[in-house]
This record gives sequence, C-alpha cells and structure tokens, in this order.
Amino acid sequence: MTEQAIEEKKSESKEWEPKIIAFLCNWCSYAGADLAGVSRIQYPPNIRIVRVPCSGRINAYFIIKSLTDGWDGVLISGCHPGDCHYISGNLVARRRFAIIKELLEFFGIEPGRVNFMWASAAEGERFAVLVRKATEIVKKLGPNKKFEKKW
Amino acid sequence: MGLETENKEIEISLREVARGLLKDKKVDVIIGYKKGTLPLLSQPIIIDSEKDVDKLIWNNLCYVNLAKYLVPRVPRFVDSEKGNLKVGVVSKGCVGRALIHLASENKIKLDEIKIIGIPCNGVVNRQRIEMEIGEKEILEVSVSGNSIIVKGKDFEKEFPFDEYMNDLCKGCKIRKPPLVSKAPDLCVGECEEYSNIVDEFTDIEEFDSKTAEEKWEHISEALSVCTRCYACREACPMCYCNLCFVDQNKPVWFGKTTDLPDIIVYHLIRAYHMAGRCVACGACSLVCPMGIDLNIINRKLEKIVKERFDFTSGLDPDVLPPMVDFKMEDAQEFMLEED
Amino acid sequence: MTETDKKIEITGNEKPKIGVYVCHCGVNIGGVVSVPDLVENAKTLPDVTVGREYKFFCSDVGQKMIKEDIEAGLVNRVVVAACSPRMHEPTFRIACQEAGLNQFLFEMANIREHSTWVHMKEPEGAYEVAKDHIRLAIAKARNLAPLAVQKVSVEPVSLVIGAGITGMNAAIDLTKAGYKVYLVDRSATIGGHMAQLDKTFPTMDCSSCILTPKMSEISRNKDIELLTYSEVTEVTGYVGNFEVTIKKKPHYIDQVKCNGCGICVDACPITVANEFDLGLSTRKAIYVPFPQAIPSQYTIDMDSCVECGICARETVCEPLAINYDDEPEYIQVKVGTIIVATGYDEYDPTELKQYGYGKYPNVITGLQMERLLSSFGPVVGKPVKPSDLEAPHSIAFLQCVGSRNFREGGNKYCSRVCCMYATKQARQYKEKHPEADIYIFYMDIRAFGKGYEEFYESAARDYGINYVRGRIAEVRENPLNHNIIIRSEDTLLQQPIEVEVELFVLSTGIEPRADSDSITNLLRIQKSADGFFLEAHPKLRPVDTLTEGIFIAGVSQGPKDIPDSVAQAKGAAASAIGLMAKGEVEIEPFFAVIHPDRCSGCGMCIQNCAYGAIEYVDDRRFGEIASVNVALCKGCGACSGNCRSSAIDIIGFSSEQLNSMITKRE
Repeated sequence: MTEQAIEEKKSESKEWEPKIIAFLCNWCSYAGADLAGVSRIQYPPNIRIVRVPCSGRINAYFIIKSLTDGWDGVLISGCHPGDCHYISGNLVARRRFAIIKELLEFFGIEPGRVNFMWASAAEGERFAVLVRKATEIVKKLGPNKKFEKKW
Repeated sequence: MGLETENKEIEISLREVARGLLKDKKVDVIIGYKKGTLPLLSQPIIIDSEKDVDKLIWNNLCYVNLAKYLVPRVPRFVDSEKGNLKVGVVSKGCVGRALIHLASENKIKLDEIKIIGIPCNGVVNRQRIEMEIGEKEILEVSVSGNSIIVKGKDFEKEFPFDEYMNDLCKGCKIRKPPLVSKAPDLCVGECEEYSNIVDEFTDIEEFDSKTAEEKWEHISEALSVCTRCYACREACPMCYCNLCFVDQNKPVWFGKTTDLPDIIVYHLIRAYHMAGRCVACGACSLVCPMGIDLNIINRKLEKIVKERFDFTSGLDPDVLPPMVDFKMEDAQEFMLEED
Repeated sequence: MTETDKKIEITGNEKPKIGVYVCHCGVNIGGVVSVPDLVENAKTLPDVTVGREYKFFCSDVGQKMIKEDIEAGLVNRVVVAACSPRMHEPTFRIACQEAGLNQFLFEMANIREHSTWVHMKEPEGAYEVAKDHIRLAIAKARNLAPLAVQKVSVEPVSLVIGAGITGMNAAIDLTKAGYKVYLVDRSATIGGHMAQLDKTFPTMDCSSCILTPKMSEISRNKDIELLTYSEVTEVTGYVGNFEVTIKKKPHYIDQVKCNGCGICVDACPITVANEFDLGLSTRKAIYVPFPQAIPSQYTIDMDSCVECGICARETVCEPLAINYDDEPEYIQVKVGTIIVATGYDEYDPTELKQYGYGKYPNVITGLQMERLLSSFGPVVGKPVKPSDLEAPHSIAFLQCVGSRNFREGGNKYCSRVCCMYATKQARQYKEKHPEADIYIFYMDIRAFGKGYEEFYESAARDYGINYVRGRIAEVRENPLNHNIIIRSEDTLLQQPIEVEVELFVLSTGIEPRADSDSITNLLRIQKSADGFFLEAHPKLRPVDTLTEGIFIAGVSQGPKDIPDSVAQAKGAAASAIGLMAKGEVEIEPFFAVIHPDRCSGCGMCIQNCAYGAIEYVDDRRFGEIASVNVALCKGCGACSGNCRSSAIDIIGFSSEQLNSMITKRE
C-alpha cells in the first residue's frame, strides 16, 4: 500500500490503535519474537521493538520517558527468572518493575499502560499471546492523555 | 508528663551530654538544632566548643533531617590539621535511621560519627498552623501542656499537638535511633532498644482504597502547586546525587517546567528513587514553601518495601537495601501471564 | 573480520550521513509492504543522505551497493532494514568494515520477523511498524560511535561434558587436532547409554564391538584427562577463558592400592537393583558398573552402603584399599571451549497407567528389552518373561510411548529411534525364535535413515513381524499366567483386534535429562520448548549455542540415532577446533563505562553486578566513586538500569541511544 493510501485509510477508520514501545532482551525475548516471526504467528501491529542486552538494562527513565513522549503503553520482556543470560539481570529488574507498577497505581496513573513479561527464546507462541494481551489492556485504557503537555 | 515538661527535660539532658562529649574531646563538632529566625522555624547549628552548648534546643519544631549535613560532595567536616573531624549528631529516630541507611550506601562511616539519641515525640505541622493563622503575623510560639500556643499582635490560638502533629509523625514507630543501646552514654532521655516494630500503615489505608481516578484527582491537585524549587530535594538526606536526574543532559530525560505532567514525573521518579531508602522523616513536606503533603507518598514507599521485601530502612547498616538485592522467590503477581 | 588498509576517518563528532537500505527480501518484505515508500519516507528524516532498495541486500550485489556509497563518501552511518540482526548483523558489519567504515557504525531495523511476517494480514499495520522500526534504527544510528573490537586469547584446551558415544567422539577428534581435553562424566564409567545396547540398526553391528574400541582409545589417549565419577560444579569466564571447577566424587576405594580382584563384591552383604540393567538384575553396594567398564574401577555406592566394614577387612581386601572417609576432590581448570554431550533419559511409562507398566510383571520398556537381549545382560541374551523366566512365545511392541503426546504435560516430539529399535529387537528375537508371534502396534513407521527403510521392509516381509497400524485401547493381564491381553484397532483393515501375548514391550521414547537445569544454570545456555538444549539456529547452526565457545552435540540437543550423534560430535569438535586454532577471538566492545563527574559513589551498580566487575576507587577529583573492570564486564546493563545519575552507561546501548529511540523529538 502506498503512503497516501494508508493516510486515507487511517482517516477513514475511526478506531484508535495504541502504540506500545516494547523493550526486549536480546538473548530470550528478542529471539522469541524472531521465532514468532519465523513461525508466522500473527499478532496485532501495535508494538515497536527496541533491543536491549538484558531486562536489567531497563532504567525507570525509559519507562516514564516513553509515557511522557507519547507512547500509549510500554512492554518489557526478559528471560524467565533463573534463565537470565547474565545470571541475575532479570531478577534485579523484577524488583524495579514492582516498585514502578505500585507507584504508577498509587499516583492514579493507569498501571495497565506498563506491562512486564517473561518469554524465552523458544516461546514464539507465548510471546505473541502476551503481546496480544498487553495490546488489549492498553487499548481498553484509551489514548495516553495524562502526560499531554500544554507547552 | 506534659509535652512542655518532656521537651525541657530532654533539652537539659541533651546539653549535658553535648558538654561532656566536647569536653572529653570525644567529638570535634556537634550538629544540632537552634532557635530559628521566625517563631515557627528551627535551624541547624554546628558547635565546636562547650560554651555554645546552650544554643542547642530541643522541641517539636526540629524538623530538618540533620543527616543531610553529612553527605555533601565535598567533605565539610575536615580540618586542615586534624583531618576528618569527629562529628556528633543530635538524632531523633528518623535522623538516626537516615544515618544508618547512608552508612549502608557507603556515604558515611558509622564509626566516625556519634549518634546522640533523642526520643522524639513528633514534629508540628508548621504549614497547617500557618494556613489557619492566615495572613496575621506570628510573634511567639510556645509549648504549654500538650498544646502549641501561637501568639500574635492581637490573637492567641491553641493547637492540640496530637492533632497538629505532622501526619508522618502520627504513624511513626521508630522515635529513637536504632542501635542506640550500643552506646547508652550517648542516649538522652528514654532510650531502650526496639524489640518488635509493628506497623499497620493504617494512615494511608484510606487513600489506598480510592479508585484510580480519585487518586489521580487527589495527587494531581496536591502537586499542581509545585514551583519546582527543589526544597524537598535539598532537605532530603537521600538526595545526595552529584547530578540529579532533572538536571541531566545527554540525554535530557524530563521537563523542568511547572506543567502538570512535568511536575508529576518529577515526584514520581523521586519517589521511585526513594524506594527502600526513605526513612519517612517528613522533612520534604515540612520545608515545602507551597505546603504540599508528600507524606502519603513516603508512607506508601515504606509500606511497599515492607510488604514486598520485609525491609524497613535504616535499622541495620549491614542488611542489603532491597533495590540492590533480589530473591528467586520475589513476588511477581504483576507480571503478564498467559491465561 | 578482516583488517583493511582502507579506513575512513570517523571520530564520531562529524555530522552523521545516514544511508538507509531497505531490503525486499524476495517477497518476504516486498510482498507485504511498499518498499519504495519506506525508502522515500526514510529519506525525509533528518541526516539521511541516501536511501536505496534492493531484492536481497545480503547478497554480493546488495552489499556492493552499500560499500560503494561508503567509499564515495556519501554515507558515514549505515542502516539496513531487512531481517533480524541475529541473522545478518555480522554480514553487514563485515561489509562496512571492508569498505573502510568502522563496523559499529551500522544498525539494523528488523522489518521482517518483527513486521511483515507477523502482520501478514494487516499490511497497513505492517507498513506502520516497518516505518517506525526504520525511524528508530536511524535515531540510534545518529548516536553511534566508532569502536574497536576486543581481542582475547583462546586457551587451547577443551572441556567435554558427557562421555557417551558423542562426547567420546568429540574428545578424540579434538586430540587429533592437537588439543588437550578434559572429558568429564558423572557416571563411574564412560560409554553412556550405548553401552546398554545389544545390536545397532540397521547393520545389526554389536554395540559393544563398535563402542569398546572407542572406549579403549579414550583411556589410552595421553591428551585426554578422563574424569569419570565427576561433575562440573562451576563455570565462570567467557569464550576462550572459561574457569571450570570439577568435583571428583569419592569412590571410597583407593584406586592405586586396589588390584581389581573383586573379592569385596562377593563379600558385600548389601544387594540393590542394578541401574545399568534397569532393575532387571542386582548388584552389590560395592561394584563395577558393568564388566567392560572403563576405567575399570570399583566404587562404593554410599547411599546403599551400611559401612558394615566387611569389605575393609584384610581377609577380604588384602591391599587394604577401602577408605570410608574418602572425600570429594575439587580441581580447577582453564579451558577455551566447552562441548555439552550429556545424553538423555529414557521416558518412564509408569504414569501411563493404561499400559500396566509397574503393575503387570510382563510389561517392560524398550531399554529393558535391550538388556534382556544383551549378551552380558541379566539373561545373557536369551530374553525371558519376568513372571516365570520362560522365553515368550509371543511379544507385542507398542510404539510412541511417551512421544508424540499432545496431552497436557506430554512430550510432543517424535523420539526418532523407537520405530527402528523396535524393528531391530523384533528381528533379533525372531531370528532365535522363528515360531514366535511378534506384533508391533504403531501410528507411523519412521524409517528415514540410510538403510532404514530396507531394514523395516525386510522385517515385515522376510521375518514375518506383524505391523498393526493402531493405538492400543486396552491392556489387561491374564491372572493365571500373567499374559498380557491387548485390544486395539487395526486401522488398515478397519477391524478391532485382540491378542494375548506373553511379553509386552513399551517402546519408550527419549527425554531430556531430568536435571538438565543444572547444565543450563552452570553454562547459561538455553533450552528449547521440548526441553533439549537450544541450538543457535535450527538449520544452519545445529551444534552452536547462543553463547560463544559453548557447543552442544548428540541427543542432548534433540532425539537422534548413533550416526547423527557422531556427526554432531564431529561438528562440535570442528567448531571448537576452529576457535582454538585461531588462537584468539573478537569480542564486541559493549562494556559499561563510568562518567566520573556524575557518580556519587552510592554503590548500587557494584551490588547489582553479577560478575563483580565494578568496585570503588578513590578518585582524586570526585572522591570515592565506581570503576569498571572491563575484563569482567559482560555489558548486560544491570548496573545502568539502577543508576539515578546516568553515571554508568553501556556502550552500544547507551542512555542517549535508547533515549533517541524513545523520544518523539528528533
């Protein structure tokens, strides 16, 4: 489809689609997403993927910055606990994720916008299932308005 | 025993201990509180000789967290001849906790300071009193019985302390510095060790049970008056970073304006940085020129950390703080899972 | 990566000139989204000076297009939008390097696996995703800086974990190339499961006849340090420089003093099930695993031993070799490469209650049948029924036991060897007992290898083995004679069938080792969904893992027969030899780096680092701050994830680079 045709189609369709930024760890989740691709498992086109070496690399700044800079949702995926390529990166990250979720909820910012998951390199199907789930959750929350700046 | 009497006794005792420490050269300087420039304020003071000991005060207006003065980047307590000076710190419970937590973060060496333990019974919520007095000038503040008496040119008002205490202090269970039993000679007033700290966090229960929209309403309204003066950051002992996240460039993370999203993000991230580190001293709220109540956030942080990681900050310098630790069995109920 | 005399002077400070190359990848990408539109869109973004499209950029022609742009000075950053970087990042990095551009000024946008392949029915959505992935890659490319690869030396020593047919072959090939090998096996003998087999299909070679020469070769080989009854307990380090701790379990017998007389075995009063014979025979608590075991050492099984002291008496053990106080010994070795060949477990069919294994005495597994057929097994090669020790006049085999099972918790895969071994066992028995009735109940017969189809045909045609295509519905026992009554359906005749047989063999499948997690945790390698070790690429890299320097081979990678196991052993050995022959390996320089002016010395990064790569240093200007030991750093970022001041950052995945992908501002 040409760019013009897509713009036309977009203005036709009234349904809003969320844009979710997904941080995937290189060793497990990025490979799992690749496997979903290789296996042609389909999932909705709402995520944009950023590769990181490990889920432990994720700083709270990335998550909050994503919300302030217009992304409707954030998805972070790493290796299952115990399987981290770097031994414990996902385990230190898990505690950070818990705090972020709790604080978002406490501030009344929809915690469903930020989702965390584990998916291994062999779990293409699981990756797609959880992406679909996250997309559904964010879609129900509607566009991200709380961080819209006035100036 | 009334508040007035308690404070007076502790103050006398404190001056005695301070005198003794300075005389016996056990410390080179002592950081404590002195009378402030305005009636409702107090100020920190650093004394280095016995003759200044009477400047030390103790009352319910001592809100600053003195641990802050031990963390600036340039070591302040260094003498060109003597080297590192020995410092004594007048510590109510939260100040002592802050010192112990900073020791676990390698910012202080506990054997180089003397924690002078004081049993605190709370700090008054100065902003609330000011709001109720309104625009009239306050000329004198005193404690009588269990009330704070505020006098002006043509008014006198009594504020029962139990009600006008800072919210954080109402729920406080750690009123004297932990580990105080290790140095009984440094203890002023009643100072036995804690056995079992049970905290139900009932003070934030009401807020926690609100819906997401109600929470957002409440917090965004409360924070909307923030002028980004960073008094809260300056008063907090845990905010010792050389480069605060709001000041970073390459990359610039967040905006510094008073636009609501920018304000929310500043407080949200600062709270995130405080997880497992905040000792709930309330200094941040009490120094805020706009009177923002940051207390509920601080208490929520304590609750999260206690429930998830069974951790209370500032009790033991050898216990790893939760954000640098992990357990295989950490709760992960928030993770997305297949149905 | 080749050194080149061409070098374009890039400091990282000049204005980026980004070349964007969007690949059609045949119709994989071009057939779903409009590649020309993607190129045009990319060219509108700031700093993009060149935009091109081609059918296959990974081809020589495609790469040439990129190289020409670099050499002409049109671009100093390259973005290729195509397949996954895990596929072709090395390809394009080399291309850049050959054209004179630092290989780390290259970034890939994944618009195939992460876009066109997963949004095939939503081409508009796929286009949007591709467009954004390209935009993100361009944003990162703007912030890339030239880097130098790290070269580390490779220790010319290899560790092979598992001394079955796979491990042994790998070890021998490694020594032929001149490398020293530590061959570790946790059992008291080498040989693995193959030592339990009698004949091998399709040639009916005797397993011991082809195995024992290999075992002898191992024991004689001066370059192999054989560590049986040992386990690897810790592995640290990285490719070329692994530090390995091996625990040598105590035999409780001084192997130097022991003269192998075996009197202790006769004297020992404790009898337990013999695990080599799968419980069909017994052994003593002091034992040799099987007669041809190598090394031929006696061991006391301390779990069963009661320390009665009989074997320790001088009248029994003249050399006084028994030592109840023996302790494990730990050794530490440095190796350059590791090969994992840990083999498999047999599926335990007890949970399939409908087949009566464990309940009816005349129901046995395939490996147990193998032991019955074995010439040094419990019945010296004359199979008998467990109920009365008489030779059976009729046998039924059931295929796909514990394999191809799509129920909850079942093994979905095909175990690959069972059709052939059941045919082999049936043939072997028929040869000695031509009048016996033999049935093989199957779903499909998989006879895929060289000579396999012919073997199977002959079994059915010449030996008269009855192949019944049907799943067994019901199994009962005749209480008078312990015969097994089978009800099934013959789906080819479309008739129910009921037979009464004297022996029922469950052709049990292959399972990954129950404790394979101990290997994955030790080496940080992954498992695939079926539980076997995960190869780096299912088609093109079957013996590599995602961790450089660690290889997998044999059944530990997936069910296979002996020729395929040996082929993989040779493949893994060749890969290991390739690394060690070169003597050095290049490592991506994606390390942690500290901005000392930002660091407050809070110590969080130091605590978070799983490798202990960060420590405090006293900086003259900034006081006590953190410092990174690059030799230990793996670039995972667990440190940076916590840093409040962005004082510690990861090269290659820096805060600035990641921020540029998140932010909506260009």
